[in-house]
Amino acid sequence: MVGEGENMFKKKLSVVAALLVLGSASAYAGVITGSPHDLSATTTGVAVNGELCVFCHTPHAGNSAFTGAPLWNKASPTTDFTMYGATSAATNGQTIAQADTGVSDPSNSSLACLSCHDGVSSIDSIVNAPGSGLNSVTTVTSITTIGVNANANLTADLTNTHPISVTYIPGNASLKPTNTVLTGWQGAGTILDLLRGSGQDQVECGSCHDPHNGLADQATRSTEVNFLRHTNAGSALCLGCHDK
Amino acid sequence: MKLLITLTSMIFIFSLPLNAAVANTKHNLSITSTGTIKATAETEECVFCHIPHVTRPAGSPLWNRSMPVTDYIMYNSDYLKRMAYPTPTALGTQNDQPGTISRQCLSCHDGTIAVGAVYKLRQTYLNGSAISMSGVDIDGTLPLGTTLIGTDLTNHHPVGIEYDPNITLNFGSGIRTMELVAISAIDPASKIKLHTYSDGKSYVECTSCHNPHTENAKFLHVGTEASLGANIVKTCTTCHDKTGWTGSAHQLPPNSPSYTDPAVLTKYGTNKVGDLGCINCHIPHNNEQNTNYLTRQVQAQTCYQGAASSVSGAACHGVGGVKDIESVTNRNYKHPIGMSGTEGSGQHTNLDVLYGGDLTDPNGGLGLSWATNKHAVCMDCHNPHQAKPGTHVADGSWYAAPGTSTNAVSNVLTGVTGVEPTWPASWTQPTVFTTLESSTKEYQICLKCHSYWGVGASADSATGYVSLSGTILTDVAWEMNINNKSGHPVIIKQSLRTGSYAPQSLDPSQLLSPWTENPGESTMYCSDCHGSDAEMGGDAKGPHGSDLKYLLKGDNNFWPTKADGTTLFSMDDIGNAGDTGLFCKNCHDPAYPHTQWRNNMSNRGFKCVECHVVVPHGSPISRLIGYTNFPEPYNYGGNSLKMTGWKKSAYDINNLGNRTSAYAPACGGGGMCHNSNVGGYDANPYP
Repeated sequence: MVGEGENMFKKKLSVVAALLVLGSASAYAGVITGSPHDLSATTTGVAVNGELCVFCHTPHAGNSAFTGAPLWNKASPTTDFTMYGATSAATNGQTIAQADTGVSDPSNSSLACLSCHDGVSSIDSIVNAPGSGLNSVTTVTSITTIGVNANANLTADLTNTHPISVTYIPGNASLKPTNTVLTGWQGAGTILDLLRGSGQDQVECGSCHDPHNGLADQATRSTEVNFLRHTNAGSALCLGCHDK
Repeated sequence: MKLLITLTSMIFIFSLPLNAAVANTKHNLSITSTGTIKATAETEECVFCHIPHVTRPAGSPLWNRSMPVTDYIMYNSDYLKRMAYPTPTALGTQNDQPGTISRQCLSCHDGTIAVGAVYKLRQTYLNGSAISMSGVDIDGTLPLGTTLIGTDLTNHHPVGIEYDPNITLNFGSGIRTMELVAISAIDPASKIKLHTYSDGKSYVECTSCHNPHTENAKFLHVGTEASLGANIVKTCTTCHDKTGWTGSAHQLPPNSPSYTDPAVLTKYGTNKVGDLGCINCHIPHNNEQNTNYLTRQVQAQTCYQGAASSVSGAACHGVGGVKDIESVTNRNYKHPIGMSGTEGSGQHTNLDVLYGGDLTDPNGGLGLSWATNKHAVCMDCHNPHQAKPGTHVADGSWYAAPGTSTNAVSNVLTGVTGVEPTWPASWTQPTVFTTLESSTKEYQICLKCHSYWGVGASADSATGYVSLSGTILTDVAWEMNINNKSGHPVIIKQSLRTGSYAPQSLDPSQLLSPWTENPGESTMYCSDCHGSDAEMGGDAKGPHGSDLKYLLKGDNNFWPTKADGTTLFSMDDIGNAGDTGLFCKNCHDPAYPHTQWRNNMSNRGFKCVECHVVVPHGSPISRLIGYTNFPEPYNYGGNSLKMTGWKKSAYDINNLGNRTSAYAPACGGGGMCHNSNVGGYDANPYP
């Protein structure tokens, strides 16, 4: 009887384990190929050898002065941004509770994204073009900037976009504890995994978005948003952090 | 097994964050909502108000709805205007303007914008179309119901209004504050929230009381109390610190009464008057009666009915209530509570005491003057936030216990505004008054109306108004003037009556209990003579109403005529069976010990009002004597008074004094009794 009980326990335990595995298997995984971040597929300009990565990364001779993303293949961004809650560019942002965020510019990890999504910077201006030709800032395609009316154009005015480069303080804005477990998120098992910066306490673009986690059929979808770390059906992405 | 349980419970804990609060509320407008208003297909909850990128220019945080362009009718009141409190202007349309946050809420709740009409849904700008909703009106807006605020905000607690506890108003005596908690003292645990804008001032908005994301009932920040009713009360009292509220009759009602109307329990989770506090009488939203000060019903009806749907289900002051005033005020003679024709527009307005006499409210509000706003409602005499149980009357008595009588306000009259006259020369009209933030004497409440402050200037004490009892109303302050030679000691004890001369007081032997102790050193109440007819038989005490004229109360109730209303009380009646009902006999002993006097006077048929003024409040002549040329109503029928001279003398049981104390040729006696004019009589104010 004792043995049977143990067997039963083991069976149940394996079911539970399977469930847990199933949970993580349903992570919101996507691709870059064919997604809007696959700039190779969207261009008809000069040959880029079908390269996808080159618009952001290069294996050699990258812009090492910029630390926002690895092996950076673009110039350091120079746009003046107006932060969430700020009254003008070059002034510190404010939270909804009117607390000074202490920063007047996005941090580098978000600047990497904004080096295209500010609607000003050229998408096609990269440091190291495909093939040979190190260290020449080159225009490789006919894409210049993100369309003025495109959803992806956040502009340099960040006052109307979710705060970035802002410290995640549990309790504020009903934010959950950082050790809260996230299930089915791309690249994150807890909220802490979403946070960036040296103190791993900053909310950045990458907190919600994974630029490599796209949907190839985005154009045909109306119920999903690209490059999210979790589907926002049922507002699950928002409610991952905000305990509203 | 323990491990299994642990694992299972871990999974449960992990899934907890998904049970986000707003998902379980009516503000979850997605298809998963358990409410009636929800999307037909959309699953996102946040999107109905928020969007992470490219949000609307006005509204925060990350606002995704169009803002209504409504011109709201804003809250206002005589009280705010009179306190010079900044009244709300239009709700803001841009961030950092007062009212913008409330306008955001109203982007659903004013009923002008479709619930599903968001700006952007994921990557799609809706450009005027809307998320498909069920449970809404045909145009997509909020349907009729308690949550539809509409565009008239006058019957809702004000929003977009500054919160300034420091505003005060000086009375002639005393200071009225806004009775608001200091900003720094607002309990942070309550989560009640003020909003600060670039003007540096704090404002009340919808979100001061409500948290749109909470599961608390009515989306209140406060959810810590035992019932919804108590949560609402705590919400109110977090900011509103009504003077004297704690321990008052309405905060802590005696015997813990409950509403019998089942709707009260259903709605508020409690039916106890003590739990319901503020919301017994006030309602913060959608007051259908559109009354002042967010009261539930039109003035007195609020007191009768409270939070019940009818008087019969209430434990208040209506018929069958715990302290039934309504029945009393339905009697023949009364303060005209509930009789005023246009009460709905608020005949009594807060602080109207400031605008009596010749003063009119510069804000255009209604004052106390009878010429423009004759009225008497509960709030004129009571402060429902401060009233405490109990009166000055002793158990089993009509009056205070022997030796204890004063004229100080009793518990039920705590915190009521009043006026104190500046006393002019004898038998002239007091026209200068000091307004009192809180009356200390009962008469100061009565004189708000029963004086120049209410009835205005009059050529003599008789005003131009006729009472329900059918007689001309008089200026009681005129009659009670301490510079008059005689009067009942309502304003001041007899020893301090500046107008009188010795002996100022009656002798104790001329009085009955409880007035025999130190009569010259005691004062009394207006309500010792005026009250309901059955105060000893269960009626609420006080001069609310009676079937007896002049609201005369006590064991004897008639003056100056007998119960038949025509036969005047006479000397024959004193000491005989015929004096039944003579009102004066409640306190005065007219028979004893003046045996000699009584024997001389009896059977002569003289009427009381042949010597005494009919209105016994006071007289320019000692001992409430009147002269032949006194006008009505002091002179009964205009011709009852017989004396033309009188001076009082010291009381001596063995010596009646000289009959020449009185000079009364009008008796026609031709040399009898009082036919000698020896001079030195009290001066006659009527030439």
